[in-house]
Amino acid sequence: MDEDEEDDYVEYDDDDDDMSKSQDARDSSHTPGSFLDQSTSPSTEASSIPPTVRPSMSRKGSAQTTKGASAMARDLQFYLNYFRNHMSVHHYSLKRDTHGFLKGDFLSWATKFEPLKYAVAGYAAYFHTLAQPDGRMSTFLQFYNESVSRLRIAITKNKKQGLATFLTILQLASIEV
Amino acid sequence: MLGDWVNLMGHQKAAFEMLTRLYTPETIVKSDFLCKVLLWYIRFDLFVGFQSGGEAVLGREWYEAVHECYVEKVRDKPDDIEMLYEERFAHSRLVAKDSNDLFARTAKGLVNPQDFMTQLPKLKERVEALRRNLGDKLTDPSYKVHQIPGEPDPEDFVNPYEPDVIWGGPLWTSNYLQLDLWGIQFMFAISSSMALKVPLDPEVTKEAFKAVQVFEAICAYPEAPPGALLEAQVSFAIATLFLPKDQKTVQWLRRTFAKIEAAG
Repeated sequence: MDEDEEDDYVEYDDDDDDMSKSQDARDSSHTPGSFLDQSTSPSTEASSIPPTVRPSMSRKGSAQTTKGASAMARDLQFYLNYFRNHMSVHHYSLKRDTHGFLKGDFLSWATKFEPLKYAVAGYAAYFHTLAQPDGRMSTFLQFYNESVSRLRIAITKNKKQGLATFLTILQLASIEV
Repeated sequence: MLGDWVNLMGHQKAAFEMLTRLYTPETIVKSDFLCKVLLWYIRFDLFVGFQSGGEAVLGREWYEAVHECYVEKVRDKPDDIEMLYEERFAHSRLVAKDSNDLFARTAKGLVNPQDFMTQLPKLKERVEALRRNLGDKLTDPSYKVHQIPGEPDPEDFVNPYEPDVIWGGPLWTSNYLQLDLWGIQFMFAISSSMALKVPLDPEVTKEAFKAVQVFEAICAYPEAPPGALLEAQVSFAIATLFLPKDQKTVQWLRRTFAKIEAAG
């Protein structure tokens, strides 16, 4: 990913979290949460709360009312960064990254559609977890569930679903093959 | 991965419904991005069909459309390596579907034995032609990796450090093309041997050893991109079905599968 696309990313991002913190996350090589102040490490928090009872599950996408939700939004940037730097078309069994498919058009769709963004982050979290000696699957599940619930909301709001939804389903299915 | 393929079937069905509602075989090939997305879906389509012992769900016309689209692109730009690869992959999807569907339909009694016996040799010829027809550009030996640092393990029964086992640089994808075609060939050999109730062809076993060596070389190659092992392991897993069942092999397989498990 070159610098231009990094800039594009910030532009496309319509998320609601604190952008300056996201910037830190994108450039950080630490695990998620390590750039936060000591008292609120999101990685610990994320892995200790079962995904089914996370407060973030019920939020509608704009209200950053709980610490869990904002921590998750910051983790999101970390895993999207992990996707950019440590994942390839081979993680998708797409054989060849023709015309920069994965980090070009596909990532651009992911930055514009929240359910897909969370699904991509979840997939990255899955591989990041595997690479850690003490990684926990709950992080991945949290993003996966967030993607599914946001997708449900998107489908309820708008019956006419398009390519972004299709890509989200493909991304969600990727974890199962 | 997580092995929840019932859930996968749900996703595949949802994806199938969306795909066929949003596009037709004619409209989807209008964009390079959508062609690649279709190939992505096709992977699930074949996988679910194969896992369930059923036919691939998506109609053959979609497989043909995406292949034809890349054939035209190759005709326009015969030196575009990306299009050369996509054309070969799209072609192999079509052969994989035809192979899967013939055996699945025959097993369900939808193809009578005479028809099956007429179609089988034609299919066999197409499967065997796959690896012959890769073309010079995708198999250029000057891009072979001459040396991978490391020592062969005496416990291992293939040597991944042998020179010229895999391609590097711009032809890295050829390793995956090769593995993909082996996978189709192995699946055909297994299905065919089951349908005809004959033992596995020993010639295919030789190919299986080569596929295992390529897989091991990809694992050992320090310049392999992330995820390299993950994509390579599908054909590897099929190849292992042809390996001898002695104690040494079985133990080696256990170690290798543990390594794959750790990688996802």
